[in-house]
Amino acid sequence: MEYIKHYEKNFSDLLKTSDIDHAKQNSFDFFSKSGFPIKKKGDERWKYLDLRSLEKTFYSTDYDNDNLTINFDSIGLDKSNIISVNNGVPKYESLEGIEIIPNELYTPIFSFSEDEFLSLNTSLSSKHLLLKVNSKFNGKVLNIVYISDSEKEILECPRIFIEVEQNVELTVNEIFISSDAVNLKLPVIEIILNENSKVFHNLVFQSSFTENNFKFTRVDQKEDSFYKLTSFSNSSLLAANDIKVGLNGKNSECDLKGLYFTTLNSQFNTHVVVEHNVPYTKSNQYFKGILSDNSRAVFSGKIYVEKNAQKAYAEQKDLNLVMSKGAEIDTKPGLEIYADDVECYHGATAGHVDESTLYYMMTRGIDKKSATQMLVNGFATEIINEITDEKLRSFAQKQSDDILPSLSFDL
Amino acid sequence: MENNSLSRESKLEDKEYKWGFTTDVDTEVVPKGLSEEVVKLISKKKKEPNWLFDWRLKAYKHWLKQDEKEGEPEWAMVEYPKIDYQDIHYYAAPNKSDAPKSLDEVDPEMLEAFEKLGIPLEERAQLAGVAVDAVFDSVSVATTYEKQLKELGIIFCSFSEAVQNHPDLIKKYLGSVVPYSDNYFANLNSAVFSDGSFIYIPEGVRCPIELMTYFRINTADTGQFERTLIVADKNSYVSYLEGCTAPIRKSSQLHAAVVELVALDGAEIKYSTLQNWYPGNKDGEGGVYNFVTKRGKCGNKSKISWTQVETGSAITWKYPSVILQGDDSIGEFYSVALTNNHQQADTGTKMIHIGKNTKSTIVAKGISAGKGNNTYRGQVKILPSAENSQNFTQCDSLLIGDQCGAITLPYIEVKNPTAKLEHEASTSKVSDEQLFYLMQRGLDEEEAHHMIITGWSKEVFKELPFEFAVEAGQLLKVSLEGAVG
Repeated sequence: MEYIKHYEKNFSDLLKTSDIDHAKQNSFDFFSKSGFPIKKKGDERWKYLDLRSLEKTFYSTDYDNDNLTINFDSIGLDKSNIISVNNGVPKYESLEGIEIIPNELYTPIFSFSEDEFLSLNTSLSSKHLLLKVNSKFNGKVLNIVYISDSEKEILECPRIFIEVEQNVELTVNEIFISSDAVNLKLPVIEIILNENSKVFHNLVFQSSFTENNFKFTRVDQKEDSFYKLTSFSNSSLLAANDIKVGLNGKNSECDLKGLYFTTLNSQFNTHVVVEHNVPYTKSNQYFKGILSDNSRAVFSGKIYVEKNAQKAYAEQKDLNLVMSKGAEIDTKPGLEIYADDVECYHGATAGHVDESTLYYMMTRGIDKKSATQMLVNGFATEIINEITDEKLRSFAQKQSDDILPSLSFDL
Repeated sequence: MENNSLSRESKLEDKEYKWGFTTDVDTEVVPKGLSEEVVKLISKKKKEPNWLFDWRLKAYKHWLKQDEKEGEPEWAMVEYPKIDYQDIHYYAAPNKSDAPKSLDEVDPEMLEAFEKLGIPLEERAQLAGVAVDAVFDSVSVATTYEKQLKELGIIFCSFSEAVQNHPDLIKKYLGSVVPYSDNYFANLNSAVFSDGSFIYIPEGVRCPIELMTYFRINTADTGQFERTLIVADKNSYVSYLEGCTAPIRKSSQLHAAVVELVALDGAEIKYSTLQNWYPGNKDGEGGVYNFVTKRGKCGNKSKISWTQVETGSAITWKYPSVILQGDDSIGEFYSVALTNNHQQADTGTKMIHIGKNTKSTIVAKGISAGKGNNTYRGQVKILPSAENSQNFTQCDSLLIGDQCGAITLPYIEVKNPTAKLEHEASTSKVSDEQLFYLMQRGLDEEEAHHMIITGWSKEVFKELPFEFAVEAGQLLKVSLEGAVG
């Protein structure tokens, strides 16, 4: 595979930097063997997406991350604490209550062999940003902004690791500012929630019809911890929101929600795995999609309940509005349960807006288009309201309001 | 037609001579192994016309290619030791001399099971495989039905008979729903299928009896590679029941069957299965591997309905599907799958919506007990042409004990915005409160479990022909023995 040789040659400096050289080389070897997961036998995770374009582009690197001004208004934040620009090391402004963990104390909470994209991130990432949040940061907000600003088509692999100490509560906001270049982004964030900690995680993908963005979130939850993720995505050319949460402590709970708009010929993949590894754990997955034009959305969810993880309670839902003839939704809400004393539910729907509701509204004098838009807006707002950061929420709402009139509804 | 088939036979013989292959045609068992010769021999033994032999050969060649390239499908959540396809007899005529001479010689365990299931006395001997000439005179019943069916123009016979007597129908519909290249096991079946059933219902005829009754009396070991073909002509109706609640000990371990249903415009086919083959012993040794391909194709305004109760087999790999090709056609799938001890099941359905206003309903219930793993794997595909199509899916799993697993994998693919699709599923155990209530009324734990499970499965049982619904409830009870407590 030509592109692998290209990576080997042009990313050699990244392959060597960092203190975990051997891991980098191992994971690159792993990636070289399989390449991008295109029609791989027995691998269903990426089966519905067309990833061939990734093989054809020869990405390069760009370390220039200075002289950049961010218009914070345009992204709904007032400031940022961490900025990841191009291939540079994520810039971190030191904050009270957050310390940097030395590299030798870091072990990732996932295995690079779990996924080809994760292995590529491991091998081509610049120095990781490793943070530990203590009680002095309790109740505060950590804003992370990812920016691509290069003339070239670049491949970026930022990696951020956050360990939250016991009894600490914080909000993590992640937002992407994209450029018009055909970039490939593979950002990975790892979060460890220690006993009785709480994390409210908000994730906003900004629209870009040129970018490929594969976002990975890996979470490890200890006893009595609570994790809430709300993601909002406005179509990208090819994007993925890949989430895996391990409920590894009693009474831990996670609540994962997401909304995805897909338009034109964009493709969006939501991949969620929640692992109930110990007894008395609770999880909720609630995702919604609005698909129009010739776009495609994929949802593949899994609730996994380990043998001894009794008294688990898990829910999973994926609801989709298919608005146009060319759009396609492929959804696979899966359950894998090996404990008997559990309650697990999942549901999925796909369809158009409800006809009788539409009819009711039209009898009240609202024209069909506005009535449809109102219904779709209501459908979307349910998730947007879950975004815990007020500024980000109104930003997402505004984005949604802007998209709605431009959506094409075949009726 | 007779002349025609005669000349075909002689041609076939010529051809075989030319290939320089001679075997004693009277042997009851073909030597182990799979080769072009074996395929040829099976075809010759069955005196098949050339076109069918060619079809088998094409299938065999394709299977070889597939075997080399990909091997057996690995995506299913089942584990079993690798099958040596050269260590199997691909043809064995039913052996009468080994059969027990009377009920006294039958395994008492089996008789006990009959008793529990409430199977009529006259049928027990037949089911236990007692040689036909030693059995009660039930043949007259069969002949009565035969006459009635004949008057209506219904054809119901073994597949081999159909090949001889109705070659045009077979030629037209064989492989029209499940092509020989469909999948590994269907491919193998197409090359070496032994026998099976063929049904043809003429236009506008409503089959007056449930064909199960007839079948049950006529049941015979059709071997491990069965092939069934049912054709319902325009506006006809047929209900067919395969298998029975009685435990069947198949002599062979690998069982790869193919069932094809063709429902032409306005026709309705109801296909019910009760499968209770040998599941292996408590430690998971032995048992039947059941790899079955079942599929139906619907014309305009037609309906195909699958109902299955799967309690047997060490491994069940089975996805009865419906291709909703015609406009306004309907597909249904009702299933109860139970795994106990070391049994594994990966079963579900596929509903492919192609025509306009097509509807499908899926109700799948999985019960896992002992160390069994039970997977529901289903696909609902709405193609762009399927305007206003609808699907409703419900799959529930029940877990009994903490050594088993329940896996639900629904694949939903929608390419039309007018489609309406709902899917819901749940996994839980038998509610403690319900158990407590029943036990408080004097039922023991096992009885209480049984009562709750029967109620829970009712949605599927009610789709079965009446007398079988009762037996199916008993079957669950027998299969779950020892799983509770």
